[in-house]
Amino acid sequence: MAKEGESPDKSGGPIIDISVHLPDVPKALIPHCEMPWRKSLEIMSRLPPRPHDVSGYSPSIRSDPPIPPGTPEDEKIGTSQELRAGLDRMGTDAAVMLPDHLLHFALLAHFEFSSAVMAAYHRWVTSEWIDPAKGLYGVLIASPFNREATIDEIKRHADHPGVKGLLLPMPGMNPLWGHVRHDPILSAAEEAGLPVILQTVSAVTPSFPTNMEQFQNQFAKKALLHPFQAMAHMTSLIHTGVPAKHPKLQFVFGGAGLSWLPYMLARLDQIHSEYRRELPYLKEPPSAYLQRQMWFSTHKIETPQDAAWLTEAIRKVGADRIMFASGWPFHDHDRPSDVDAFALDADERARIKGGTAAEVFGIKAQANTGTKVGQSA
Amino acid sequence: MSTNTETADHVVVGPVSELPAGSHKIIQIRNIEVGVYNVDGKFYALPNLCPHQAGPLCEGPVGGEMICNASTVWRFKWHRDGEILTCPWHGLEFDLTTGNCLAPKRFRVRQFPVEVVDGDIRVGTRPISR
Repeated sequence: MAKEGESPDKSGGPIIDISVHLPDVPKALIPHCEMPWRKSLEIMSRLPPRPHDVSGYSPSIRSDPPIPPGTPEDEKIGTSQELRAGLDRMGTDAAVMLPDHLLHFALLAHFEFSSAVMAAYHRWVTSEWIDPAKGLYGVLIASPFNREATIDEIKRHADHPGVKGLLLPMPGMNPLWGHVRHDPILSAAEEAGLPVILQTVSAVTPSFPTNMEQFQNQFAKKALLHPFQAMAHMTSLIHTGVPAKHPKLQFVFGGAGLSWLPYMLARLDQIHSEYRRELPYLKEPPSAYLQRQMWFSTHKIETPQDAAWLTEAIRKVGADRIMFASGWPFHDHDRPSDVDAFALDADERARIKGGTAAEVFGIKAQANTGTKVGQSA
Repeated sequence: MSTNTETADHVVVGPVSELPAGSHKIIQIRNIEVGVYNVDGKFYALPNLCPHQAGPLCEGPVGGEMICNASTVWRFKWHRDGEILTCPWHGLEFDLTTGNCLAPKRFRVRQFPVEVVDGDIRVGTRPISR
């Protein structure tokens, strides 16, 4: 459930949260997973799951000790009814549900196991969580190791009225999204009309993003892991011309906040002006693609003492590129009303809180109806 | 840089034979330097000054443009060899035939009118207005 004291947002338009995370622990997927990999999930389930750190499932090199009293615990949700109730308390009309542990999916190098987990997740999320009538939407997961199976899964589930995107897992990717070997997956998403979602996560891995294990605490890791992942994948996608090759593909970056964006806008265009010949696929500066085909979710909303400069940052990128994401039920989740900290006009806020998400994800949600109702557009 | 005959409205660069296709020459027009280029038999003249950060544009190499798009099946292909001038300071590329920067589009160099009269190349002293 959402925290006590949270009150529903009463702003004008529908509230659509594009980042709510599901309890995708190994145990949950057992009934949906094929043999023999169901047995692997059963073995993993005998140990209590740690946040973003289940060996063989969501591995992370957690070398730093817990500092008393420890990190606040994430809230627990067990059913779609509990999830819907939590959204109601925040005044959220519709939500796009993402994995939690499986944000680490690119670290599951075992070809057959990861393929089975991908299919199991899709069966689990479509049968137990997605419910457009209740405003609950989900996404598919792409396997960078098994693109043929990923394309099959896209074809199998893309027509489901509650499937609204394809998650491209970020940490552990080698090569990053943008390498030509991933093009068939992106083509399949483009053809299916599914936005691709690049959601950052605090994963310390021996592969990308490297060297994070040297930092001694979560402060440093969280400060860098999320924007580094977003910056690296965005740069990779642009440096190989993916937005130009896939002009109908929509990219949604999440989890890294917003303050990194003005830097990228300025930096990419500056470098492009001098190295254009290396990127002949781009007919325009990178910022043009960023501001036409890319969107960004708010979580975790930075809270500078002077909110004005973050407001300015939003406007530099374009308020119509920003979509609200709570990150719930993570302990550091945001609320729709947190968007009100920015000195934006009513239309800009309405777009951020739900208007843009309705367009990008094709979600039609009614605002503040008490009983939240959503349906596919 | 050469010293050339100058009148009120043009500067004589020299005979066409001294500027074969693919070559260029930097001349002085009043207080500015101008590069004169022979691009496949057609002549173009532009300031030796990059609009980006004032680099000596005409000291840069002349080459072509790499393209990669659906028409090339997203494979790299060399295109318009001899028509693209690259600033030696920061690498910005300019289309010799138009003065347009390939990126960013807001940069553009002026062009001076060039004509051949009695076998001599003449560059006008006033830039072409656009």
